[in-house]
Amino acid sequence: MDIIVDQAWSSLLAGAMKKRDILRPEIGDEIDLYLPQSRLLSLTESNAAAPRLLYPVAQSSAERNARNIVKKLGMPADYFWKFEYWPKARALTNLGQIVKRVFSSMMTPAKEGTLESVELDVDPMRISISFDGCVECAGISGFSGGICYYHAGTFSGILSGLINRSLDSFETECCAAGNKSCRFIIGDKDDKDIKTKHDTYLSPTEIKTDLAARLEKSLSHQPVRTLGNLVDVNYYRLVIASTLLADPERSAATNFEVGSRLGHKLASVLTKFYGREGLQNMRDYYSQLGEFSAEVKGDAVLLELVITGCAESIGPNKITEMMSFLFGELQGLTSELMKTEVVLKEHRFEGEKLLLTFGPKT
Amino acid sequence: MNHTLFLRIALPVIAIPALIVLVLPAGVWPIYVDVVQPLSLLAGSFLALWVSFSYRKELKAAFVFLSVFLLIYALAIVLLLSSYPILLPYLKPRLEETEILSLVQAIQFINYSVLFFFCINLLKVVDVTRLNKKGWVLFGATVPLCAFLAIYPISSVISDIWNRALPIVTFINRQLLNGAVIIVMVPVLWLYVQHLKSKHRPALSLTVIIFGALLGLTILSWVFLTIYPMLSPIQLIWSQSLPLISRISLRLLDAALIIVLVPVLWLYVQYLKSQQRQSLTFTVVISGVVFFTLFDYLFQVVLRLFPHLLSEGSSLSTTITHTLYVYGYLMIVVGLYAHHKEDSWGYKAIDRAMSANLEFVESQEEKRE
Repeated sequence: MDIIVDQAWSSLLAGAMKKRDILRPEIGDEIDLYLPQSRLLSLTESNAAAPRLLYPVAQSSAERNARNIVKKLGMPADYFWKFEYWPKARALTNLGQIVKRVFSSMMTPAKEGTLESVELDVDPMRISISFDGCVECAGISGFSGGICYYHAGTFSGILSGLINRSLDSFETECCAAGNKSCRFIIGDKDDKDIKTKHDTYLSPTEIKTDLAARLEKSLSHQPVRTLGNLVDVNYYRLVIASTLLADPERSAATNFEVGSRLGHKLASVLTKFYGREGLQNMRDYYSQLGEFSAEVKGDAVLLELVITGCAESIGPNKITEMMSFLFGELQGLTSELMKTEVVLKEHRFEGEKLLLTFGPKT
Repeated sequence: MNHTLFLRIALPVIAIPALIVLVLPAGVWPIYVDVVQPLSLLAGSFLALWVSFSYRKELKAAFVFLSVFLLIYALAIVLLLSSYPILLPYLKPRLEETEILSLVQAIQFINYSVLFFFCINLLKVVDVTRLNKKGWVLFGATVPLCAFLAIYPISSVISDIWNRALPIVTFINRQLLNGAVIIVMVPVLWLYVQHLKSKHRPALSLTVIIFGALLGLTILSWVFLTIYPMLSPIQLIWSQSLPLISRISLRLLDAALIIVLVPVLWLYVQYLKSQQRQSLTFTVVISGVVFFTLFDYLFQVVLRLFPHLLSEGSSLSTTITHTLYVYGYLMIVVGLYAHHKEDSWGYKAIDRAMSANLEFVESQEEKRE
């Protein structure tokens, strides 16, 4: 799974350098940001501990990759030597420059958001990061606090990797809470204040959102942020991998179950939006949001889906766990659209094509 | 340019001005050394001060101390230590030879204390607890090695002072040992008295005050009784051997400096193996300090052990020392310069890596069009 994460980071870097080959020639490399949002939010809704699982995984992946990236780019390993002894102005300028030149350059073209380090104190360590047009919460509303756990982990990981310190973060402003942009505070892991606020941040009292309303915005092409409604498919892969990394086997089972529940709910929204019934809704939905393009064959007894350009299975490494949420969602959605309970019987790859076989539940 | 490339080029290049000392004619090299040494030290002092603005707290203090050390050293060379010192012609008619020597040694002592403060601040910053087993072994081995390097070439001077001081030391030791018995007996007796009076035991604080005062007075009076009869012989040896004692102290201080700096160097070796982040340029600065301190001593020991290596009265015994000094000073200068330039070199490397590829891809696309 780490390979998928590292590949996605490298691909984002290559994208920033305009050096990347197109990953999905048939449907392009962008997907609607509803897709990663729906995965993250439904997982958090079903399990209040999800932020605690997601955050450290995102953090460690980002830390490892930040180190690798700056090394690849030729930054000396001792560039941020004794950062804690730097005067404020030097620390802010140098860290801001690197963050902007490398990580902002990766995130902005990928349409993840616009990253900027805005304030910095060295003693105690406090780095304030502004993230405009955040992909994780754009178009979501009604929350009292921040919900961008993946990015909180990613930013603290990037900075930890750069300055070689154990850092943690929490979100002080979030679009989901009605703010204009997201803002993260990052500080030393063993700092009492950071520790308390970080723990509170990762223990949300209740996460409940109207995903149906959010989906309608995407289907009807209502812009949810200035960067547009699309995001690089690598971000999606990073998010999916991060939901699994802590315990791939168990997490895959949970993802499948949560995906299945979401699939059941989706059907009515799609039927209402497209104004018709049947499996064509499923095909149009995934195609419109850029998840994949599909061909449907057969009937309820033996239904076969031939999927091209599946976002979860890009590249040479095809990991079944990566597709667990999608498989669940497809099973739930197909059952609902066919008005009979079907289950996923088989999945296999033929070249880059993914073949899924559904049959009646026995 | 990046700091690794710069150091790869600069460190061999600075060997040239250092090696020039060896090839210059007898009448010329002292003038060359008189110019190059203070100049490199002044440049180092300026750069260390410049670098200090890039840091806070202990690390800032460390660089300020390094700057002061290099400045005092440069001034001391120009004013007192060079082949043609500026201040000596004014001092000689007013002071005796031994007084001038004491003055030079006092300045050296102050300067090495400044360098020692640099090392102390450095140790506060560098996480020595991260030393691995080999590091601790090396650190342990450095202590006797440095003590040997500092003491061996002047062992005859030390043994001379020791022989003269031995009767006094023996007397003081014997007296102190006798005194220690009494000092130990006092609390035992006091506790016995307390035990006898246990039914009407006074308050604890009162016991501590009385006990403390009694013990303190006993120690003071015994030290006085021990030292007083020996004061005049001590004074005699001290006045005769002061310059020698200062010389020994300075060498021991040098040894202490190396002992303190070795863990810093070892941490960098660990970094090379484990990708922990220690500063390469800063390590070069430390290596410079160790270089001009340690290698001169090593050279002295080698000459003492193998005197036949150089013919008697050969100027190489002096010029090699100066070569080592010049190289050490220039190493500090190069390290400090690269350390200061790290920010801009590091960022430029990243910027170039990101932009070069952009240009490359764009030009390919233009070609395709």
